[in-house]
Amino acid sequence: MSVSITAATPAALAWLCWALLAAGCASSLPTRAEYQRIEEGTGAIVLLHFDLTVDGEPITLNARSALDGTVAALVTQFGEPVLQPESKFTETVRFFEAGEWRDGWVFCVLAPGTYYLEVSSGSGSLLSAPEHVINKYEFRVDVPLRSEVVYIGTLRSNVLTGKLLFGRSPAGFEAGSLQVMDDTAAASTLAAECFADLHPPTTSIMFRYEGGTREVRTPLEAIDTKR
Amino acid sequence: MNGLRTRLSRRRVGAIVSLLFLLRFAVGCVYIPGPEWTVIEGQRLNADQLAFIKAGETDRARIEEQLGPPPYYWVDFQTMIYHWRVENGIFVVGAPGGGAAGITTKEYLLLIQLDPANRVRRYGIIGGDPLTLGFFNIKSRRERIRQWLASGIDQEAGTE
Repeated sequence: MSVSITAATPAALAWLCWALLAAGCASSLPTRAEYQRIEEGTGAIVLLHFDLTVDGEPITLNARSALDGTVAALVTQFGEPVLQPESKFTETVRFFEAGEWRDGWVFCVLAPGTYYLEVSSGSGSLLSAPEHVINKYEFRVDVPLRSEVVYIGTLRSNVLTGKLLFGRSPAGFEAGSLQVMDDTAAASTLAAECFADLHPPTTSIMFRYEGGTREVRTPLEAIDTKR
Repeated sequence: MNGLRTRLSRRRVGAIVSLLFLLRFAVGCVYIPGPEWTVIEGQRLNADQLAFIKAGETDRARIEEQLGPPPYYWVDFQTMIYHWRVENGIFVVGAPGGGAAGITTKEYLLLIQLDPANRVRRYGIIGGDPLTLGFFNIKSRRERIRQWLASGIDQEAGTE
């Protein structure tokens, strides 16, 4: 009988779920229920773009990118992963096509409000890691009311690798290499192709959370309360 | 007669196989509650530390001066949110061929709702679910805060 010690946190479990989903079953475009939320104004498609290099070389992100530690993303509110009302412990960032981050684009469906996006890189089993790497960044994301598609920015960074026993593995983002870009034109092109029946994207570029109080807004709940 | 014996034997074998198959999924779980001594996240606050807070008098600046800035502020409900998590026991799960053990934790939230003038309207400490194994946390922070806000009952600092 083997015994293991565990003290799982909701964040860890949600990340695990996301990683498992990323590994095998790629998600489809928004479901019928999600489209209904968008029509009702209680949800919006949030578009995020990754433009990464690894050791300076361009890469194609795919389902393995989360598992091998290249990059992972998690949306939180009040410090906990955002749980979709229809299914607990669901992941929040999805792919466009089977296992592929279509040119680095991913999306999720969120209600209007303020969220915090954790973007992480690096695997913990390296024999030696380069100096000056950063494993996690946090951004504030605002999803405006009455938006059907929201583009929150393009994350550009270089991931540095470290040594494994055999080969190399991502160690983290190169310090100082991360930039949040505004590529609304590309977001509009993607949205026109994938979400032709929805309004063109609204741009609401995320910004770095630098510490202090995390302000949270949930405008729909505020409206409900005032009724 | 031989045919009957064969049928019985097949039935018996089938029953044993079925039982073994069911035992494969048999599990046991034990939860042993313990004292809430160890804080593993955040800063524990007690009623004495909150004695300076007076509804209608104390403002946000004074609270931040005493307790530091809150980790979260729910703008729409003008609510400051502090939290801390304590160990409150251990759990052991056993199953044929394996098992697991670990600590259980319980989270507390100090919620301070302000009025439009940024003065304290009401405040309270709410506890998490009695048994929180992290991934078995029944209610999210948001749900628990929402429930407290909806309760509309003014209360002095206390533990629910």
